[in-house]
Amino acid sequence: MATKAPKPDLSTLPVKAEARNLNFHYGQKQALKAINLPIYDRRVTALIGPSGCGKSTFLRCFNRMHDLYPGNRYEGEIRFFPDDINLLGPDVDPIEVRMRLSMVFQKPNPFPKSIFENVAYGLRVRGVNQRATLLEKVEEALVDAALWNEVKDRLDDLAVNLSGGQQQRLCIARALAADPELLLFDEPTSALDPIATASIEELIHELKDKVTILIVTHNMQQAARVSDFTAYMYLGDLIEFGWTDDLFFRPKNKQTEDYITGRFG
Amino acid sequence: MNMTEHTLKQYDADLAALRSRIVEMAGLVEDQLRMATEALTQGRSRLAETVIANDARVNEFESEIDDDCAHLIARRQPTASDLRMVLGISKMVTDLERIGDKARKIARLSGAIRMSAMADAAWLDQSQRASDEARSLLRQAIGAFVRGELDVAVDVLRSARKIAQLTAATTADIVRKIAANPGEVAVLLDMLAVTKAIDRAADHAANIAEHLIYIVQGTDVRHATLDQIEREALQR
Repeated sequence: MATKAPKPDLSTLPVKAEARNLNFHYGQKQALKAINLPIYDRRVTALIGPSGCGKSTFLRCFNRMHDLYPGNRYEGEIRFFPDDINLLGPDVDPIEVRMRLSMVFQKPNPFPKSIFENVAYGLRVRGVNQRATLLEKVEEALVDAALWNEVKDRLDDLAVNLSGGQQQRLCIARALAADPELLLFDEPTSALDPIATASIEELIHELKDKVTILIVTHNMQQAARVSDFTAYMYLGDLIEFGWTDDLFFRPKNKQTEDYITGRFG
Repeated sequence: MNMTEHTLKQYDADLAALRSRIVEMAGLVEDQLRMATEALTQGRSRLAETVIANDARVNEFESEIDDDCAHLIARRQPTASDLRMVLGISKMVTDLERIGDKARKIARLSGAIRMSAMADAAWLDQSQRASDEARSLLRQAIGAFVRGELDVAVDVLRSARKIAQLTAATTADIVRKIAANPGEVAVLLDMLAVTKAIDRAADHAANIAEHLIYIVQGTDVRHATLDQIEREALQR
């Protein structure tokens, strides 16, 4: 008789990052309230919740994007492993943080440069200028982003001439070229058609062998399809976190149940 | 079951329609079992004909409700309690259709059995009682489904085990008759088939109670002991 392999005990899973008692304020307004959440290594964690729940705010804490605006304030920690540093610590340089984490945004945002230069950009910023090394890394990133076969003969073409789905995969390749430890996706398919969406979702599934992924999505079915873990947030609180198939089949919390079954509103 | 409404009202309407269809089908199936048993115990052959004719309607219900489940999954992508509801209903529909098959079998065999002296008053009485009990279980299981009553579902499972004991005793009687009346073996085997059919109908009613526990709790109790079910289903 076929027996389903039991899920591993959470205490045995390596953790890549962990929010500990994380609060965040936009000026006077508190957007995150004492969030405690582990991000498991080389797993996909999805953040879901209605608009204004704090999921994008949470995601942006990881690469310190909030530092770009005055009046924003963090409390608590995001521990980052294996070196166990606090990403939010005053002694940690946000630029250094962003070297280890990459972000892919809602709308594809290629630079007005060639396909090759888009992917090579992060490497050049890090001081890699050797043509052979750049070529090798660019190819590897484009292969990993499932775009290589479509663009290998036109690497010098302008990136903005690619289709929307290709542009988004290019942005993923650009993110991957820098060998990030954690990939942050902020609604990466909301501007794409269903076919392009499916290819990005497939890509997320394949990438998790190499990199830890944290994804914000408005599309619950997408969270159910691509993630190993799901966190449901509401009004700045983390309401429930667990294995995605448990959360979508037997949520523990009534609020989660109402949201995922569409009884919220 | 008392559930809050979906933001999308048509989704509520789809789920409500599905639940209402299964209740409707259960009503038909219960009636089929009642008529089949009366055809047997009261010799009402017209009822047997009606049961056989109505079986096509039972089968249609099965196909239609399964189709509704498939469409609801495709269109609404149900999750959590909604998903369990659709999966549970899809399983219930199979059990109801099987009860319908048992009713048809009883109806089909009733004529020949009535003509034999082997079908004595005691056996007919036992058959009537077992059938009444099976229909009562079906009613309780469906009522529990409508109201989401786990304790009633567990009662149904408990009662189904009692019917199984009654069947064992009736079966032993028939086996003794077979040994004593080898010339009547054909009709006695038909009687055995009727006894078993009623017992299976009760089992299918019990399965519906198990599906209800799955729908409400998300726990699969199909292979659990009654003790485990009482402990796990009711204590959560």
